[in-house]
Amino acid sequence: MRITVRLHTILRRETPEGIIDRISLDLPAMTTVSEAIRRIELPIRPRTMLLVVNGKLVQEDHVLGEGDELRLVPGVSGGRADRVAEAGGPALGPDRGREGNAG
Amino acid sequence: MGTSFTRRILHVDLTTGSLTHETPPESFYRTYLGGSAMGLHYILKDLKAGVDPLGPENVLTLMVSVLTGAPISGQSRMTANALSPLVDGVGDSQCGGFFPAEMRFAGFDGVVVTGLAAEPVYLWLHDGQAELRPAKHLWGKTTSQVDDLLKGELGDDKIEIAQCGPAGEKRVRLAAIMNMANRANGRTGLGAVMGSKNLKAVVVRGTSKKLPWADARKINELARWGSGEIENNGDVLGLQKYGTASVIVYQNTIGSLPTRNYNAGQFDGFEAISGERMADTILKDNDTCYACSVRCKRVVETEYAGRPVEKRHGGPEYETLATFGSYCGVQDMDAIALANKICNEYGLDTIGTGATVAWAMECFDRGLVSESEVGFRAPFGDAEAMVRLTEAIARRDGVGDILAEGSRRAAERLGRGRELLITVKGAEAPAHMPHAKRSLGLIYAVNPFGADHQSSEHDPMIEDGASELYMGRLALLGFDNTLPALSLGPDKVRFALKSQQFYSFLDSADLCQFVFGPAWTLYGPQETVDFVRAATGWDDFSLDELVAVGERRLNMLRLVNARLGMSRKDDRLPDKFFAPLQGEGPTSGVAISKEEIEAAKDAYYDLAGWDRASGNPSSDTLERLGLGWAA
Repeated sequence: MRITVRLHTILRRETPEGIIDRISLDLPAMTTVSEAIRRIELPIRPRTMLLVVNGKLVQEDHVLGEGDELRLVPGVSGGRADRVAEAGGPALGPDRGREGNAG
Repeated sequence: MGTSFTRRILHVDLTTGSLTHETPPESFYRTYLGGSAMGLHYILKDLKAGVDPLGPENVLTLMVSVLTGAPISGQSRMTANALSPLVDGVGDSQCGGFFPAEMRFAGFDGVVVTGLAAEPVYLWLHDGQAELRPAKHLWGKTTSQVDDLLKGELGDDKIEIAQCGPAGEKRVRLAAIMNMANRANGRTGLGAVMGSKNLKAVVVRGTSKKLPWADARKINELARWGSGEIENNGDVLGLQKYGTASVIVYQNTIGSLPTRNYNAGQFDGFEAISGERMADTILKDNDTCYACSVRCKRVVETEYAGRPVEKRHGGPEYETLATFGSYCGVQDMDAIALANKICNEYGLDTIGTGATVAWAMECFDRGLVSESEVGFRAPFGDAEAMVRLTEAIARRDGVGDILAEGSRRAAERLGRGRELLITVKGAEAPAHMPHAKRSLGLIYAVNPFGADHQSSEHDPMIEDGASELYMGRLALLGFDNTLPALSLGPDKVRFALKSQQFYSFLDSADLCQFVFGPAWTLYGPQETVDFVRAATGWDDFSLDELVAVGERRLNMLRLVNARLGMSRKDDRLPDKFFAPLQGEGPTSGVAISKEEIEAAKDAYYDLAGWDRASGNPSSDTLERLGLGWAA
């Protein structure tokens, strides 16, 4: 089946050819939202984002169907965003490790 | 080790033309820090009951803080206070830009203005000197015209100018105090107070940017860390890339994007007014405030109906896109950008103005006002009508003369449309809906200057699913667990009050709420304390003291209102909020519960140390906060 993924704000990918904010995915039937997200290259992976299928808020175990439109919406808040490309842990505050485990 | 305050407050009596310098002691700065709390000190001291907000007796204060001008993001803010001509009681509003930092470099922590000048004047503050100069030649000129004229006249393009705009001159109750022709002390109508005093502008310039910070090395360290941290903080990165407009899609998704005058929480045209669409079409650049790395300000260039929108007018913020967009059912980004320009040129609050236009459009759609009264058709969704109504308000033309009073007074004058109002104490509700963010219902009701979205932290920061960053920071303020979505029980009330006290500190320290805050911002509570210590040398300044500064300012606001006879009865949401929302999305069919709000108010007053019956501070609370003198 084929679905469209819409990427919002910080999830849009900036490439030399322009912004990528819409991706078509060919997926096996019965694919869930979380499985679909794993197939996408995102510039950043927020810990929290809203998942919207055909205009309705869904959970990540929602099963996608043919022709669905999946929007990934970071909040006022994407939460703390872990940069995908960087293997190191999150940055620490200037003189403390208090935020070292901040998600 | 130095201290970071200039110790110069200027008192201006426009009636006599007298200028008096005051040198407050360090204890004064430690009690209030600056901004709103410092301004309210003078208002409580000098203001008499029964004063006309647009009369000479009103006291207008413009205050920066002991932190303003430091080389770090998020510190260039200035607070204006006075009795409000728009809302019942006290007015309060903050601006960003370069004016606030420049005011400190000019050698002033604050200005207290009373009286009425016989002819228009402007106040010129430079390198510790103050003078009043004639401004008759500036009267009637728009903000960008005044900027150009004053820069030419003073031969210095580095001056910064805070001015009232033609709308303030005409006492439009929605008038803002503008700087850079794109930054505003927007809310509560304080531009009209300036105009009513014949004070066209305050101009500031300091040739030295050196202030005696107690620990400049530490400030630099915090600044460097913050700059590097932006790309690790998804919220702040979103602000940098898409401005405040980055939240349009999020707000719409959770059913919190006010649509057609707060009749629904989702707007079918949301993508057309989104930050992403702006970035892909009319956005030309990012702009910033003094020393800020976040650079959230938008700079757009476009035209609508053959009328240009130039870069100098900045670009619409989230609130502006919502009020002129979804509130009005308008999905034309160019028309919104033009309405934003009109507001910036004439000096109008985009929230109050857009919401008043939306109210007028609903009146039109419901047949409460006719085409002949308006002068043209003005249904929801009509972009051209939205622009025309905005311009009519700015100029007090035709129906705009009534709408310039704000929606509540317009409804009273017309005797129609009261049931369609979305005002609290006369302030039009901003673009975050209590139907989706329940604690905002409480804060909109109890906030001393009416419905305001920048007076407390919003619910998603503590509700189930909140990130570890938020919860790690909120733990410092005593919140160890997330709370259920859409709750407004005792724990949520405690969150609302505590975060309101934190935000109240930010408005006293004149810190930007997108950079410093209790949860999602670049700097959290601990870094905020570190910054205050580094700037001032108060090494024992604690988070408890920080919160107490905010609590003090909140009580001072409330005290001004109490003197005017205001009480719990004024802490009232509009009737419209208690009817089920229409439209689609998670808030469709949702209504605010009167019982829930009243119970939350009881809990809030108890926690605040305010009397349940009157909603006003008890004498014990005032004594505890060192405010016994003001009771």
